[in-house]
Amino acid sequence: MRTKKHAMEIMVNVVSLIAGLLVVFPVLYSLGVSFMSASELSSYPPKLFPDHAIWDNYATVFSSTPVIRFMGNSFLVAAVGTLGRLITSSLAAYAFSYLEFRGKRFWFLFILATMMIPGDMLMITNYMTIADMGLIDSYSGIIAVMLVSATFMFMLRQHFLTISRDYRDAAFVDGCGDVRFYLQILLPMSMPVLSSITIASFLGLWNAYLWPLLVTNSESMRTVQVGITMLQFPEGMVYGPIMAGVTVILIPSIIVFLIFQKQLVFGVTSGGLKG
Amino acid sequence: MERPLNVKRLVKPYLFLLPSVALIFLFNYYPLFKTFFLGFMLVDVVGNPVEFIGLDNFIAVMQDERFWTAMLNTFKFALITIPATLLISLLLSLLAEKKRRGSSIYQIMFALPMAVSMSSAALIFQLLMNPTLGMFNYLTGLQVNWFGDEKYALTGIAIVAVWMGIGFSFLFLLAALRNVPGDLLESAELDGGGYIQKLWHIKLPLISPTLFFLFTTDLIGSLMVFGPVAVITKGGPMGSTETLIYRMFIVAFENSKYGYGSAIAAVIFVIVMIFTFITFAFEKKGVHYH
Repeated sequence: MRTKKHAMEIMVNVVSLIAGLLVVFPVLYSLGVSFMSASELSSYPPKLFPDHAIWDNYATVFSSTPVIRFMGNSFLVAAVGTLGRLITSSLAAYAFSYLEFRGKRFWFLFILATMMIPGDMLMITNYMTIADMGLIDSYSGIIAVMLVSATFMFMLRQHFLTISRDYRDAAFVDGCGDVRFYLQILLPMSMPVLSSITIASFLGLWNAYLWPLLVTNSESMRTVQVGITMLQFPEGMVYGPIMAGVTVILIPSIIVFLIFQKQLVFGVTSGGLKG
Repeated sequence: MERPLNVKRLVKPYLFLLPSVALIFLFNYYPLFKTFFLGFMLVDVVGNPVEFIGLDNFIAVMQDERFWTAMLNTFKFALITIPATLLISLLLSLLAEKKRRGSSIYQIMFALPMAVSMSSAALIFQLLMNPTLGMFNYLTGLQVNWFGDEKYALTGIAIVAVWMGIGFSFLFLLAALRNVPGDLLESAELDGGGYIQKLWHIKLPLISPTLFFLFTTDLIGSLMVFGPVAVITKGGPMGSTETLIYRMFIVAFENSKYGYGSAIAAVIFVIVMIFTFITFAFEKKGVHYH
């Protein structure tokens, strides 16, 4: 009985490992191709890894495309957008968890109801608004629509409600106001949730595609996700350098994913946000 | 001294709310209403409403064969993507459910697609499923020109979308499965219940809220699919992968028909709302909460 159970466990592990390799196969494949020469890529049968790894594709990507600039743009957009969301949503969450005011329920639902509006269907009219503001092809234009998040507001409110009100009462006795309590006591106490939100939001904005595609025109303003799909090479559609580019832009996401897995899983599963 | 303090107290909550409420009004409610408004207007090529034309835009949408094709494609896409994503991620989560030595390794592998952006995934699969260079046909023994054949292109796009979606669904289902109380499973075991009985009578009913949540988000995500279509096929070949949002994007931004595009957006919104209400009505009957 025991050996049977043991054999079963080993089998589950083997099956899982094979399934895992199948799931990550596309990523390994792009890594392999990024080190292949054009002739090796077109050989038959197709190979997963090259016989002789070459760095030429990476040299091509860095020398003849602005991929560094793209990554800088994406970093800026994701960082500022995430910071903006943290500020707006934590302020609103504070009001909903600690302050009493007229219309509290209404404003809470006013913000939450936007979770029901699919963002992409608003792109025409949001594009017009950004155009009227003269922000097409600017960082502000990309970031403006990202500065608020009902999901994060909700997550933070849920978290704030679990913190005993005694902390606030004690702080007020010591002469703290709402702003000082929020900045110096509440936010530091909420670091685990804030870091989860930061990572989930950063990854989401780093990976954003449709909106940056729409509001940027010039090559120098493109984010990495948009830029990577528009790489131009003198020889036309060449997969080697494209896969090198894909690998380069995947590295930051995968590093963040591996290091902050716990926070990310919490951020995603408790907020229920996708993509 | 008393009055200014009171005013401050009255106003303060609204100051905390102001940034969120202002941005949400500007980039959510205002564009939502404007979308419906523009749907009833003749709009010039730079986006200014010219005159009220009633239902003309909506009638034009309903009479446009390409709109119906896009709708059909979108539904077909949803019909392939949703069951496939749920089934695969359920199987993966059942594999990883029990914590074993080494299980954290394949748990990371199963979740990894979540970290891969849509455009990277689309570019990788474009090569992977390329009929002459790619490995997909070689490994599966198929002879399919995935993105070049109108019979298969939509399925090809769906395969990419399923891969992109499994990491997220897997994490949710894994969390749900690990929350199933152990004593319930033990008492079922004492009653002689095997793996399948435990899965069918205890685990699945208990994780049904999560399955339902994933079904709803997948449904909305499928109805809004745009990315892989824009990167890989641009709606082709022969319009076989043109989806609702892609159609709206082309009409508004390539043909500069903003009124017509807004009418499509309004129709998409109504469709999404109808499906959301249907799923929630269904939820009351079929899903077990504890």
